[in-house]
Amino acid sequence: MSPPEQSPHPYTDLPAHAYWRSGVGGVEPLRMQGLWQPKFPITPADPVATYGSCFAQHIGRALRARGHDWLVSEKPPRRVSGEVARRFGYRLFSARTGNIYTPTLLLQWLRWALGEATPPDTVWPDESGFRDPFRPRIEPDPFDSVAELEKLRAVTLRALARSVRKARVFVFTLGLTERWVETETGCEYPLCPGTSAGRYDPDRHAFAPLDYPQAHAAMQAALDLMRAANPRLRFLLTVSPVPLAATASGQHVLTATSGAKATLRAVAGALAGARADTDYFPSYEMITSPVFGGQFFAPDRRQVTDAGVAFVMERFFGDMAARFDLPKTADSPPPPDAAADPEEVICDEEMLAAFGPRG
Amino acid sequence: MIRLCIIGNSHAAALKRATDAFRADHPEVRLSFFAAPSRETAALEVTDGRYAASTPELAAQLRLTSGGHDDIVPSEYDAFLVYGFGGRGDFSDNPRLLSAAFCRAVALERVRRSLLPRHIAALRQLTHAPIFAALTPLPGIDGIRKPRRLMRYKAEMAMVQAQICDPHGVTLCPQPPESLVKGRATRAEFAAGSQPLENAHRPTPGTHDRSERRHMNAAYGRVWLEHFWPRLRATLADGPKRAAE
Repeated sequence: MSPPEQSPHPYTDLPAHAYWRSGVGGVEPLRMQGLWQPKFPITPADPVATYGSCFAQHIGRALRARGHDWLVSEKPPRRVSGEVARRFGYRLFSARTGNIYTPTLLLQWLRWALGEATPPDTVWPDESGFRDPFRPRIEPDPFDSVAELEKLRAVTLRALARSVRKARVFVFTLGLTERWVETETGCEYPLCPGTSAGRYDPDRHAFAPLDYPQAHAAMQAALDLMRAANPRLRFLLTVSPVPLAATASGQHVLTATSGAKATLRAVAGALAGARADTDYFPSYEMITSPVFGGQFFAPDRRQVTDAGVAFVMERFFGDMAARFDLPKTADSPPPPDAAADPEEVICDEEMLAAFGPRG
Repeated sequence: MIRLCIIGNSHAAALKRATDAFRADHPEVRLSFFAAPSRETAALEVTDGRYAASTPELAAQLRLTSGGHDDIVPSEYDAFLVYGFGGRGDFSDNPRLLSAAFCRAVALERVRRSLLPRHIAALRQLTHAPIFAALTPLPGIDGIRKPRRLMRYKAEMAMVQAQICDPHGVTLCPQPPESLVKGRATRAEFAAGSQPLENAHRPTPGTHDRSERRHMNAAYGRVWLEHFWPRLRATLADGPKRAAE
């Protein structure tokens, strides 16, 4: 007697990548294919704006190296070395916002840039000048005056608005849920006052970590605001695989990292699932999945190695080319205005690690 | 006789073209030029107590401009001038969109990435004689584009003196005030009809293209040398080691 014939169901005849055994278990991890099925193509002709946490800096550079139109709307003068430009916050992101770690901070920058709100007049006096609380490490030294600080923030806000209006794709890398706000205005700082600049005042500064509904609502509002300014704009969300440098939550930093990344990953996934204009690129999984055995982390188990970045970006372009039958682009020399010096990632959050015990 | 050694690039042509007229009035000075276009003098190397061309191409070029020498023997000169490297601005510079600190960093970097630091360090390694330096002249004003500067000229000169020249006991020589337009550009008459540096490897046209405003003419060279001359004489009168102390 032959076994009864099974009726078809949604788990029959799926592609190999849909099954763990054929998609992961039987595949050499570095040869895994189809980790990303992009929703829309990004061609070399599409201007791409990039913002977000430290890891987002790799995406802009990789796009430029592959001959894509990485949109930099706030440029340094010509013939400035990459080293000096980066030291002053140029060519890290599409405008000199510095790192934008949270969805709420992105929304804050966008509201200021697109005229929905104005920045408060908060500045952080320093021994030799004034720091911008909303990008305190954008330059190595404080600004000479409040007027200069505000003038140059306005330059950046105009550049951010230009990049939103001109881009076809806006890439944002979500990094953190922990954040610090000014109690009087509700404005969010990228770094806790007192850590790299400013003075911490418990009466004026509050720890205000995002939960899932807050993070989702802010990200949704940010995407809607940008679409209103540029109806052709599409979004590519990623989650930074870089763990927290420190947590003020009271939890162990590993546990806090896990919670934050889970929240951000859920937000990105939910928005990509709900919105036709939004996609999620799984760089987070490509670095952090146990499948890869932690091989893409530096000895501090936090920094992502160059090999990890290369693997992620290879998958980015490879999966894009495969899905849309595009020619696979190869790395090309950087343009002449980008000096050939090493491109260090500028990561403000690492300042927090300096306050922990040594050893 | 005061023997001045000039290491330069194409901008040194302005001085060289003015040499005969200058020497007619100052026969007590002899100018020896070791000049090559662009960054070609990067092939000068310190060797056996000399600053010598390390490639046949540069050697030929130096023989042409110096009248037969392809190396600099420091003891044969009383003073040195490194001319025309670093400091060139750009018409895209818009300091209104940049912080003052960034402008300072860019202006300083433009000098640091030029051959000026290399040449003055090499010369100081070889000699205690006075060394002078002059940056690339500001471009000639053309009446069309408003010349832009990242920094005020005097502030930029003071910064380069302090950051680049002082550590080697080198004196920076700003442009003669009479050649400047508000510290932003060189007066138009000094940028008209400039002549290229003689070139050992290709024919040299009589004058630069009419649109060329970055190189200066012999009239500028004469003004520059006349402005420099009292300073050189005073320094040497004070003693040859003064600048190095």
